[in-house]
Order: sequence, then C-alpha cells, then structure tokens
Amino acid sequence: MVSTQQEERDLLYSMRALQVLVGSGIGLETSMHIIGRGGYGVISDDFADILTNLGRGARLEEELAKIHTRSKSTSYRRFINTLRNNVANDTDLLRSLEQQAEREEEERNDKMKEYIEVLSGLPTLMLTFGMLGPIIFGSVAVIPLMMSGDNPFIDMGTLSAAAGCFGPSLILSVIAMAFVGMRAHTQDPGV
Amino acid sequence: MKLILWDFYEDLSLSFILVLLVPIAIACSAGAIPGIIEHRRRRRLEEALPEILEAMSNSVGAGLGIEQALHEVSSTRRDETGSLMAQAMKRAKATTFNAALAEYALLTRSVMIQRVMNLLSAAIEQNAPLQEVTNSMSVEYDRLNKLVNMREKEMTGQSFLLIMLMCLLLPVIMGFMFGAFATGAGGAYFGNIHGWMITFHILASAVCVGVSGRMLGRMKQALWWAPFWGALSSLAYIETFAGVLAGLG
Repeated sequence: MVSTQQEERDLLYSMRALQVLVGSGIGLETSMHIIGRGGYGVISDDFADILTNLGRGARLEEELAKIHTRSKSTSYRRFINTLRNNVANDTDLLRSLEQQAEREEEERNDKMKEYIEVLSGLPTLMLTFGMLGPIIFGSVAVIPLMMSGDNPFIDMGTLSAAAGCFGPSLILSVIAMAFVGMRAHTQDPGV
Repeated sequence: MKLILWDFYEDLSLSFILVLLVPIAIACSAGAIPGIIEHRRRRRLEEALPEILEAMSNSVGAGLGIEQALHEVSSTRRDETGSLMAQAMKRAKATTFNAALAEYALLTRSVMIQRVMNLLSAAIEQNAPLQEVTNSMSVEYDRLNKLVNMREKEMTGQSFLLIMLMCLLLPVIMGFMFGAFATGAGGAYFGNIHGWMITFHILASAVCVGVSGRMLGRMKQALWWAPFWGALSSLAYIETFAGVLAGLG
C-alpha cells in the first residue's frame, strides 16, 4: 500500500522533469517512459505500469484514470488529472505543469516551515516522557510498600508484584516516546 | 588509573546487556564514519550542481556545444566535481558523450545529480534548447539546495539538543534520583533496578537517535550511533548512581 507521503515525495521533481522533457519537444508518452525508468519513486513505478499496460493494448486515458482513482494524495491526483486532460482534450500541458509545480513548490516550503515549527518542542516533550515515566511508575511501585504497615491485605506477594510492574512500565514509557517521536517521520516534507 | 579501569569494568558487569553493548558500540561508531564522509562528499557535489548548470547554460548561450561546455567546467573547477567530470570526459573519448554523463552521474552516487544527468541526456537526444533547459534546472536545484540547507541548519540544533537531553541529562537525573531515594538506605529498594533502568536508557537512546536522524533526513546513517549513545547513557546512569551512593556513605 502506497502512502500519501510516498506519493508526494518525488512529485515536484517528476513535475519539473516532465516540464523539461515536454518543453524540449518530447511527447508525453516518451517523457513518461523516461520517468518510468526510475529515480522518481512511486511515480516511476506507476508510469512504468501504465506503459506496460499500453503495450498490452490499454488506452492511456483509462490507465491515467485508474491511477487517479487509486492515488491518495490530492496533489498527485491533480497531477495525473492534468496529464489525463492533456490526453483527452489536448490542453496546454506545459503551462499547466508550470503552474502546478509552482504551487507544489510553495506548498513544500510551507510544509518545511511547519515541520521546523512542530519539531522545535519535540526534545523537551520527549524528555518529559522520559523523566515522568520512571518517576510515576517508580512511585506507583512503592505505594504498597508505604501502605504495608498494619495492613493485613498487603503481603510480600503484593509488594513484589508491584515492584515487578516497574520494569515493563518503563518499556511502555519508551513506546510512548517512540509515538511522540513518530511526528518527525509522519510530517516530513520530503526535502 | 588502574583502579579507575577496574571500577569501570565492575560497573559494566552490573548488566549483561551493557557488557555486550560496549564492544558493539565501538564497532558501530567506527562503522558510522564512512557514512558521514560520504554524506559530506555527496552534499558538496550537490551544492556545486546549480553552479555547473549555470556555467553550462552560459557556455551554450555563448555558442559552444554542450560537450565543450562540460569540458570547460571540468577544466576550470579544482574541486571534486571538476575531477569527476574530467574523469568522465576522459573516458568519453573512448565511448559516447551520453555514456560519459551517465558515468559522472554514477560516480557521484547522488540521486539528485543522476536525475539531472538523465534529463540532460534526454534533452540532448531530442535536440532541445539546452540553454533554457540547463538554466531552468539550475534555478530549480539552487532553490532545492537552499531548502535542504535550511532544514539541516534548523534541525541540527534540535537533534543535538534531543540527544543531549535524552542520552546524558536524563540518565544523570535518574541516576541521582534512584541513588538518593530508591536504595535500601532510602527505604524503598525494589529488586533489580539497574537491569531495568539500563534497558530503559538503551531503548530510550535508540529511539532518540532514530528520531534525531529522521529530523535531519538520514535515519539509517544515524542508527549506527545508537549503540554508542545507549552505552554512554547507561554508563552515565550507573556512574551517577554509584557517585550518589558513595556521597551518602
């Protein structure tokens, strides 16, 4: 399954590449073939698939429509739609690509700024989790010990069970830290 | 000195994981160095790309052929880009110009440069207006380089802070707290605390090294340092703990 992030990672580069190729007078199908040779991640794979199916007798418009339906990213869908419109209605592909690439570039810059802003608080947040985990779980583990004075319900078994929870709960803290740190991956602008 | 070393070995033997981790950390730290050198080399080549494309655009605009333009770039540049290009041009005499471009792209080991060279050969094959093509690519890759540098500049500080806080400050605080309050003298000693705390610090360090690498866009390269920071944070914890205990008498 391809994620939105994977689709968007090489989108701008492939748009610019297509712009250069089409601007050089190369036809859309040959340009797609050059991009399909590799180097543009998911987009290369999709284009290679399209060209394989074209060799089997499929129509380019329909193949682009299939990719349009299954893609998750809005920007990628827009890009495929531009190509489809060009095939169906012979629109000005170069101009559309130029406009879209500029828009995509602006979006990438905004995402980059947002990424820097979001991650600025990450070190302190992770430190908070890393410190609070052992303190809270450590305190919870010694509560039965503090209450054990004359309490007949708290025996040695209860005390050791409470102490035994301390270690696994630390692992839970690490898992929580990993979830917090996942933001560095999920919001990556792909630069 | 001998005594310090014996103390160090004794502290290490508190955890079997730590005994295994220290030699792994030394080996992995050595393994991380080629990655750093390669990254720097690749970035230098990528930084030079817009300049090369601009020079090529100017040369083509002045009426030179693309081959002559590249030859001029290779002869005027004294850096690694120049030497790699000269090497490729030298071989082009025996093969074709497109093969030389492909070889230069391969030698750089940079995806960015490989894309550019691929497009350039396609443009040459189709007799495209090369001055325009190289100029537009130069502008585009200049912008991209600026963005990559911005990320590097902004994120390096954050990533360093994350490592310092999690791999050094946290174990010192934890070592102090557990040394002062969770020992037999503190009244609440519960079991094999070091085993769990060392595992915690190793895992927390690995997570933080991974996250800090991801911030800079090179997680795989950063993970080579995970054993080193894991071992260092565990040792910082143990030494602080031992220091506090010694201080309490």
